[in-house]
Amino acid sequence: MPKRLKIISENCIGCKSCELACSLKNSGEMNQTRSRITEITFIEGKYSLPYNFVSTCRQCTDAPCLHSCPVAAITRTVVGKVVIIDHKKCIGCGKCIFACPFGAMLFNSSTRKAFKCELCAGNPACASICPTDAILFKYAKPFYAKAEDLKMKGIEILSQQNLANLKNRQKN
Amino acid sequence: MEATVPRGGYMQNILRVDLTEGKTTVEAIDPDILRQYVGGTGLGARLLYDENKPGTDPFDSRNRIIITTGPLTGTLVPGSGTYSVVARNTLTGLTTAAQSNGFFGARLKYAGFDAIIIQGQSDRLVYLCIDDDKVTIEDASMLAGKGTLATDLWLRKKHGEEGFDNRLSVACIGPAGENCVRFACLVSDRGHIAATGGIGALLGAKRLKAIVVRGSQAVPIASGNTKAFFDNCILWRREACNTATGRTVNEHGSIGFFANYHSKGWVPVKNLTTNEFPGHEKFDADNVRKKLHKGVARACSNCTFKHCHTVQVAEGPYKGVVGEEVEYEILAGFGPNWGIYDPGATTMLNVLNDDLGMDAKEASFLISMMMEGYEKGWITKDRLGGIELKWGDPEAAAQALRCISRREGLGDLLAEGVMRSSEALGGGFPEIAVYVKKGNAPHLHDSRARWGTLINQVMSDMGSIEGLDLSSRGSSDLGVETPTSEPNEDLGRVAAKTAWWRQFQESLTYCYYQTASAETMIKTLNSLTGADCNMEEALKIGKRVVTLLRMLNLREGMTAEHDCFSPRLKMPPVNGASMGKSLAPTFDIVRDAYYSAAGWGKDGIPDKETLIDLNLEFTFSGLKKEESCQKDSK
Repeated sequence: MPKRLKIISENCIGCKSCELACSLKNSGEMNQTRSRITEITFIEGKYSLPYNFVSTCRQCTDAPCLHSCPVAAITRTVVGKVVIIDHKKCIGCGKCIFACPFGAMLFNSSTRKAFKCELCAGNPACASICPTDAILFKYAKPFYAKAEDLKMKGIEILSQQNLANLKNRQKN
Repeated sequence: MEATVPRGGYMQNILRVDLTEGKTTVEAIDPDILRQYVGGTGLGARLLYDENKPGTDPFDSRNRIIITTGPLTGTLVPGSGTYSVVARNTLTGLTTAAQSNGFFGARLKYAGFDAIIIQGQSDRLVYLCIDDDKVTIEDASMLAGKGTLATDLWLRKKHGEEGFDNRLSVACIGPAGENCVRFACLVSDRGHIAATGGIGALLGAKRLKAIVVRGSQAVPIASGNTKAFFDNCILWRREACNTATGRTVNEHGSIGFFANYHSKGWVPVKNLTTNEFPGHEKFDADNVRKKLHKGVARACSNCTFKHCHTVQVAEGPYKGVVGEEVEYEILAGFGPNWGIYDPGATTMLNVLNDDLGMDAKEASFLISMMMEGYEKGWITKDRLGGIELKWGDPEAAAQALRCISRREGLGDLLAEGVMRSSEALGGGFPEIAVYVKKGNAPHLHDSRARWGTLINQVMSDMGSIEGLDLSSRGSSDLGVETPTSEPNEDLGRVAAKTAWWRQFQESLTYCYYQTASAETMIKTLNSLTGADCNMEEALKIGKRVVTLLRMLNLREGMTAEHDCFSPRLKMPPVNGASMGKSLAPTFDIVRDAYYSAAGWGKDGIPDKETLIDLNLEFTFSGLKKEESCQKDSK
């Protein structure tokens, strides 16, 4: 059984340290827009109190992004079964961004390539930095998306943001 | 020697917003100023000194409002969303430097700016929208009179974050700011407040309702230092959780201080007429947090604590009210200081006050003064516009707050703050008013026997607490091994030194609760910016900031007589743990020791040698004018 990020939103305080730690580790800069994990705090809506929502790639067992890639740039590692992108092969077409139901496939408008959480080669920065154990790196059963996962407002927001980034690239 | 550009930590840009012209421009920051003042309050003080025209009214449209961040803002350093606002203080006529946490500071950096200079005056209500390098001044007429919470939601919706917070911050003023209430504040990220000195009123006078900011840029790290900086951040985060303050705030929020402060007689009760009140156990943190409220953490940028929460009152008359959890000072100030012994009521009042956009310090000591006056029969219900302003009545207090924010009836007078109201009302009011520095209410403590806090407020040149209060603990970083528990020369000397250290910290710009050891903090700064700072240099930077703030105030006509506190603060507590104690009898000794340690003369004016040593020669001219003005008037 491989290790996966387990997110416990009830523990999240909304500090966004995970975003900066992720971007620093993976792109060498403190830039939240380069983070592979996103935190959204819902202020007003269904509930009287806010809630903190954290989301990143689930490393789906049946990963739609992997199947959508026209140049086979997205593969799964043998050890750890992590879905990774070969940035040399990626042509930045954005098909994987449309395919990901979790809004976890991101687009870097400077490099014009897709990027996503690849679990920091087995030592995820987000789980290490989280001050309240809202992000754990634990052994987990294979993940299959359920219909109710996709109804989350946070997922909808992330998907829209990623598509908007892609669209801006196409305009430019 | 030409200063080299810092290698990391800064975006190197200032955004200048001219509201008269409706224009915005981007300017580079002088690297020498960054080296000498670091950022935050220091940078703001220097920019204000260079930019403001001396001798004007604080509301003069030519005056600037400077919003600054520091090198650490927006980084992995804990509590890195902080920003500082430096401007004229509407209460004292001097200078204010107010800080606020949340995310606003971090996002301003992500948009590419270290600071904003706001000048001029718009002819209509507007808001400033910063979206990376796209900066626009937009119409805000539809937000006129709206509270800060509704303003935040409306602007979030307009700019793509309807009901949620991901990358966007809003800092705004409420009706109090629009109506130029002298203690109106700037509220950012829904409940984080740059409170001191009437910044909201200054923004209201300029007709700037809000600033919306979003950015997508990286805060640079000095090349080759990324790993060292990351490791230092981790060390800082670990240390911050293990200080006495850190442990309390992490576990309980700042309301965790209540029981301890109460046992020392530091909680303000009924405008400082007593130090005892019934049911103080109800204010214990566990009871307030776990029983009387339920809450969800809503932390600031890169915080490591379960501190800031949005809460809902769970029982009592205000059951169901939702808002930010009160901090200790507001729990005390809107609770016992108004004779209100229901923590749920303080939540309701805090939500209201945040929404109206007023500084809780001034509001608390203002209403408590009026409640005492009402009890004594010095002011009638008719004069108060029908409000029965009795001790312990949250509804009456709420009505009074609303009237003040709209400047309605007597609210128009009270909107001038504690000191001005007490003088205008006359009679016994000046004797019961609680204020320092000829104008602003102090922080919400009964500081009469908390000498470190009181002297820090009295000597402060920025309207708020200037140094560290070491009256219950020492500081190994500053070589102060024992608490400064007596009001003697030592207190003055230590207060001066703590002010330099605290103002260096304020120039780094991070949340003060997240303080680590001096060594770690300086190491982190060096790895980020590529600087080579040490403790001696840090204290010198802090001393430069403190002295420049004094020079700013001297330029605006301050004298040694401003370093004072009101009669009520001189009266010893009549009961409780601090009974009989007062700073008043030895105050002159303490103040003179402070002046001497700071390198200032007995008139509170820095010596020429001190100014030269701190590279503040450019302030000589301001001083000369000040002295020559005095001569002229004679």
